[in-house]
Amino acid sequence: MNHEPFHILLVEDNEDHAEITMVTLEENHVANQVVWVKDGAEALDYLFRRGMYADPVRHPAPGLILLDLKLPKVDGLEVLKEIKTEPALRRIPVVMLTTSSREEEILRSYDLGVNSYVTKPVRFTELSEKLRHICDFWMLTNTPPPR
Amino acid sequence: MGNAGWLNPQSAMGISRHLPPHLVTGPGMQTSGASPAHRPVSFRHTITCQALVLGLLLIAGRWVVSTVSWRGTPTLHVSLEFIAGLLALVIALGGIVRYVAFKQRLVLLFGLSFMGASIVDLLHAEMSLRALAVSEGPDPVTWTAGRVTLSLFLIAGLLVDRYAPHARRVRTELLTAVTVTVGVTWILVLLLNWYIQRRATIFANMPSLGWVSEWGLVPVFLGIAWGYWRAFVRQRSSYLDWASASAVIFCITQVYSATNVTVHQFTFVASHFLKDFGYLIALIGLYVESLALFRDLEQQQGALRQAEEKYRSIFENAVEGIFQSTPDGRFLTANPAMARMLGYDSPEEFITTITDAERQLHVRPELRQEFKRLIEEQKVVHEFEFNLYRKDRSTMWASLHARAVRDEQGMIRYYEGTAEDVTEHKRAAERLQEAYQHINDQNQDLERSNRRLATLLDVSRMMATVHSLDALLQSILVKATELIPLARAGVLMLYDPVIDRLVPHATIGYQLGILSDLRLRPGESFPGRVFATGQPYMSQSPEELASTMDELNDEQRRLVGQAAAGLPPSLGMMCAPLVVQGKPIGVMMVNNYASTSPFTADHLAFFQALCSQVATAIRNVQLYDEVQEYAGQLDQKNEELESFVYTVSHDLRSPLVSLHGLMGMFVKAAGSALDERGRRYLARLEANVSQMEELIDGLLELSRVGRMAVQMEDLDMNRLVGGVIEQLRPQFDATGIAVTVHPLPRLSASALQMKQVFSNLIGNAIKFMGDAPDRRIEVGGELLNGAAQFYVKDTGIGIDPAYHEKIFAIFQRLQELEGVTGTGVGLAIVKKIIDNAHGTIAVESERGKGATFRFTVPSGKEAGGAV
Repeated sequence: MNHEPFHILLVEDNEDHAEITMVTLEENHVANQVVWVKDGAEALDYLFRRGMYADPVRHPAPGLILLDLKLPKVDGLEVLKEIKTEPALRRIPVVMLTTSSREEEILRSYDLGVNSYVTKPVRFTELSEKLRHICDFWMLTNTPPPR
Repeated sequence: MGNAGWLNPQSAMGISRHLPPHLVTGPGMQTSGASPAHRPVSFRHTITCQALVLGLLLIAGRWVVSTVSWRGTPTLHVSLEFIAGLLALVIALGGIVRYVAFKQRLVLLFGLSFMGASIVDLLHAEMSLRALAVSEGPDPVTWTAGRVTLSLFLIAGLLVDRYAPHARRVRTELLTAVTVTVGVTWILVLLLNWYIQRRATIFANMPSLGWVSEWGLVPVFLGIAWGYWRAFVRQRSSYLDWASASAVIFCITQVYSATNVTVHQFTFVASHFLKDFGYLIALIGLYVESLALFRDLEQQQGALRQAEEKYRSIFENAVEGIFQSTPDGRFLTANPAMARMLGYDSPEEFITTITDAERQLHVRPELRQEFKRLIEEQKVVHEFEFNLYRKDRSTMWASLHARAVRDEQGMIRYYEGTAEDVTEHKRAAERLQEAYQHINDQNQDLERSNRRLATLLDVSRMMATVHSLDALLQSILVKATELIPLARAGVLMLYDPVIDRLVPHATIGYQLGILSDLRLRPGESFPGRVFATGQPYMSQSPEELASTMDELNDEQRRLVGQAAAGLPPSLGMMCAPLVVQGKPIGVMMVNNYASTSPFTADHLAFFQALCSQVATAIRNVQLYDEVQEYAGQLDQKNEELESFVYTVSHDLRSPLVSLHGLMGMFVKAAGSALDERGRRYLARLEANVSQMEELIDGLLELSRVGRMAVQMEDLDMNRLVGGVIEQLRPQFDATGIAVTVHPLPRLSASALQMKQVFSNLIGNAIKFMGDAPDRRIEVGGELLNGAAQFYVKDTGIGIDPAYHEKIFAIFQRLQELEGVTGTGVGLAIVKKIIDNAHGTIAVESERGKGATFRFTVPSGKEAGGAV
């Protein structure tokens, strides 16, 4: 079943990773619009519509957040915490997309209410596969919270 | 009766009191038994003979006197009579004085004199009659009768004495018979004389006495009657009564004769006769009585002597010494045993030699004082032990039983008792005591050694348990002062090489808070010298110790003085170095405040032993501290390293992801434009990135082993290994390797880790199987001593023994087999898991002959990795 297309907020400081991710998503035709922000602070600005992201038309609330863990300025976990403690944002599914498989980080993420935790595989093919699965799941299989 | 008054029983007792001393003392008694003077028969003979001699002398004297008085001059008559009496007195005294009491002696003397005198008088009267020239008539009859009577008396007395010594009745009857005879004879004489008077011509010219004269005899009869009455009726007779009666008669007749100038010759004679006769009876009686007395005496003495003999035998032959000694230290009596005991040849020698027992005899005069005090209090003293000198000045021990003999005033006259030689007992006891003392000493030594050993042990134990250096030092110092009882205060100083000073670390008595600021250079004052030279220091001189203070500077003196506030001046000091492997690390010193007993070499030796032990302990604690510190640092480093590895591993993945992703995109974007060579390069690039990823994953896995908490569970290893083999099934199928799993024991361990272990080992076995003809893998295990022992055996290419250790190190790969890829992490992970579980792992292998990995995993809760 097809849901209303939604934005995906990609929070990733590594440009290569961001590009690979976006290319993969485009290839899979799963994201009408992927918004990429390069650090935690920017992500929060976007989500809280601060500064340049104040316009709700140009910068609508995302239907899915792909969040890296290691971020400059504000750490991924911190961002997660802000999202999940903000009533207006906490229903947005957050998927951790990171190279780290540190147990404590995984546990911490779940403690903070992450919706999914995905480790980036090194192989490009595997990574593409995983991203496609994520999109399929959150866009097609999963029922999003009603607006 | 006859022995009334002056023959009372007390007199016999009295005699013993007046016995010559030698009868009482030992030596006298030794010889007295041989003396003839003491034989009863000779005693009686002596008396009898003396009496007879006396009588004969008196008779002779009076006879001479009478003869002379009628023919010669009266002067000679008086002189001879006096001489005779004197002789008699001397003889009588000489014979009696030694044996008879004074009163009896007097009586005897008196009686004997009178007996002699009466006999002489009798003869005198006869001679007077003869001198009157009585030449006819019955005169001789009269005298004959008188003589017969006298003889009868004598014989009767002697018979009674001889055969009936105690038959008073017999004697009384005899006396009665004699008296009657005498009376009758006297009457006969009177009648005869009356007849003669009528007829004799010699009296013719004399005035007749007439009846008046005859009446003069009345008192005579009365006297006789009185004497008889007393003797027989009142039974109060004594020979003195007889004598006194006769004396009365004599006096009356004498007076009568004197008052009548014309006294009848016969009356005169008769009165004399009567008087003499009375005397005679009295004297014979006295004599007889005396003999009886003597016999009694002899009997008493005999009994006494028998008793004495008996006791003397005991006295002489007693094994124990018997003695009497005076409070001032002379000996009155001593038996041979007593003399022998003290090394003297005879009791006499002993008695004469010892005149001051306290000075001459007693090794410990104070014992005699004690004895005197005791006997004053207790009357009798038992088993009092004296230490005495023998004659040869050797010493001996005597045990005394003694009592005090007191005079009427209650003053002690002498002590008497027995003495026993207990020298041997005493020596034995002393030896026993010595032995006991010896054992006791040894016990004490042992106890002390024990205590010291215990302390050394304690120190060793402290060394093992007390890991805080200062606490250990304090404990050691406390122990040291406990163990050396004289030690009351002490200081333990350690050398600080950084500042090159000795620093107090523990104190007893001194205040550590103050003293810890003290710093001593090596060589400074005695602790510094002990430290610098390694030689212990011991001083018993308070002055010397005080002078060591002068070596200190003002600040040091102030610190020591304040720290020692409240302590008395030290009287002794021991200080010994603490040396470890020839290197001094400090000094320990203890003070002595006991003035009575100084430290000895023994103390110092022990103190040094303690110091040596202490030094080792201190060194061990220091080493322990260092090791702890290193271990802590190591742990920290390890942690840092692991954290680093982990972080880096993760961070390394990020560029890899980029690399791979970009390559993928590159192929998509420009893949078609690449020629064959370009595609090959790209493939190699891709392979290297994969290799890199494997390495990083291996690293991550390895570091995870140390970081992850392990969950212990009871494992069925058969299932677990089966599961692992199932996972590897594709590889088995691909390679055609046979696998055998023998029954495995259950084990309490982490399932994840056990899986990793078996997975790695079996995986390796598959990888390195090579192309051997018999391609097999065997897994087995058993429980042995609470630990599970497993093995994974293969028939693969094997491992050169030179690499058996190396293979467990990370990233070690021995060889590249075609088609075999590996990171060299697997065995490192296995080893780490086994190590963390406190197990062991080893490989048995030779090149080309397969390999067997054997490892043990202790089954238990403690098995596990770091948390």
